[in-house]
Amino acid sequence: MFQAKINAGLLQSSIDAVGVFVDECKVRVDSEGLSVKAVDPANVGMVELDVPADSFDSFEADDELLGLNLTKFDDIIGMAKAGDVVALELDPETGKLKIQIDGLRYTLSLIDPESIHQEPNVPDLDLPGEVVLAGAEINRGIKASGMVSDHMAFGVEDKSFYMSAEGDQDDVRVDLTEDEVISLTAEEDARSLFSLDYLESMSKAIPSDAQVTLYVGSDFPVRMEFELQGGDADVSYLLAPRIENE
Amino acid sequence: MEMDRRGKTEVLEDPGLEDAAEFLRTGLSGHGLVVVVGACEVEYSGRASSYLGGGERVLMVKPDGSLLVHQNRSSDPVNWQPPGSSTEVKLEDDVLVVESRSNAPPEVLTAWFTDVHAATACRLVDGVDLEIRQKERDMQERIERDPSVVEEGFRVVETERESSYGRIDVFGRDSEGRPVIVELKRKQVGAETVDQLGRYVEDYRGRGYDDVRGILAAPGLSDGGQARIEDRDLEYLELEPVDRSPERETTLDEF
Repeated sequence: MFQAKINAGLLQSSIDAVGVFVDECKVRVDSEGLSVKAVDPANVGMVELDVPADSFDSFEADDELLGLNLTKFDDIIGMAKAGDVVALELDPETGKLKIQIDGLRYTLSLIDPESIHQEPNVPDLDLPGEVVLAGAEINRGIKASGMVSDHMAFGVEDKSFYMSAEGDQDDVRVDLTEDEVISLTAEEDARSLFSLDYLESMSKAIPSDAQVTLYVGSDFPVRMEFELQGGDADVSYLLAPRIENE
Repeated sequence: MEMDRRGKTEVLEDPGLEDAAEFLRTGLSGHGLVVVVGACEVEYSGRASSYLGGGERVLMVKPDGSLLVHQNRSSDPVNWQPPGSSTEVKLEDDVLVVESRSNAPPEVLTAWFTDVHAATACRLVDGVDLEIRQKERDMQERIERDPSVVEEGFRVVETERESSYGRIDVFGRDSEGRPVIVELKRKQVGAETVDQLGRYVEDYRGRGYDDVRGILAAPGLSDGGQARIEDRDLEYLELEPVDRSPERETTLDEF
């Protein structure tokens, strides 16, 4: 059983956060809320999404696993206007998802969850650098790096956090000292390089006004955690690095 | 070749289709590598579409989701699916169906087996690949160029020196002339690797190098490895692998 009502904006940003990595995903619902864990087909990027039950306008669910075509779902939810409430209901007879948005009814066929890429095991990483900063700062660093290269570095060095990219001709570097970010903890210097293809997609899902906690190591995956809509949903990204040249 | 652990391989000969299906499902759900040998037809649709009429083939699904169909010729598979694909095994009207789907771009490969000669499910122990060996080679070259990376006064006598348990990465002498065996690893290591080094050291003690030292050089050492190093009176040197071009993209399952 699954029946819920949710603000369209929250639902849309949640879908966008997961859609960065996958077109299809398994959605888990239970009495606690809704959650997704998914990894992209190349196994480079991973997302975890949690929307707790009390972030919904109403929420009732037994343990269910829904196989969702995100591209289709995104199109449907895109029909909603700002402030609309989306009603979702799993039809136990047909196994389809009934979606209602302001008089519009859409019945969405679900995918057999077994046929979807299995949910990833989240690696347990010990990342020495932890920095909390505004989403806008990260997005700015990613945007600037994208102008010069197809990959960029995140790093911590001498009590500051940096984002940098070296292109064939031009270089970009953003340095943020301990005082310029919300908080910074670094047990040791660290630096890892990442593909901008992935980061630019992730950047679209990171709200400018969100506080992002970014964990970085040396030639290790980066973890970014942030909230959507002021805490109504939690998103965590993990992205595998490119191994750098000497 | 040195194997610290042995994987597990199960073989089903001439199974009925129902048994084969069950066996393959179990193998896949345990993230194993499965192989099916038998008569099948294969259909593919995605970036293009193709149909391969009936014939005897080998189909393999790897734990990363990739799927390969091989005929009895050519080094390349006749049909294949990329890593990250998901595989489903089902029984439909006395036919064993193996269906593999990948999302981006959407691709579906379906193999219909009317007869299965054999099915194999393996869990292979294999963390090594060509590039990793290259990295250890790079670490070796770095030490050859600059032996003080190991310690002040260290000299390299020979790399890839033989022992009763396989090749020693670097054999040298310290500033006092004591023989030193250096084992190189490009990733964090644990107690098994310490034992490997221990065997080299024992082997050399047995050959009359009474005062031989053993150094394990790696970017990291587990707590268990640290304890074993102390137990066996060996030494650990923190040494990062040398990264060289081309740069490569890693995947999350490497961490």
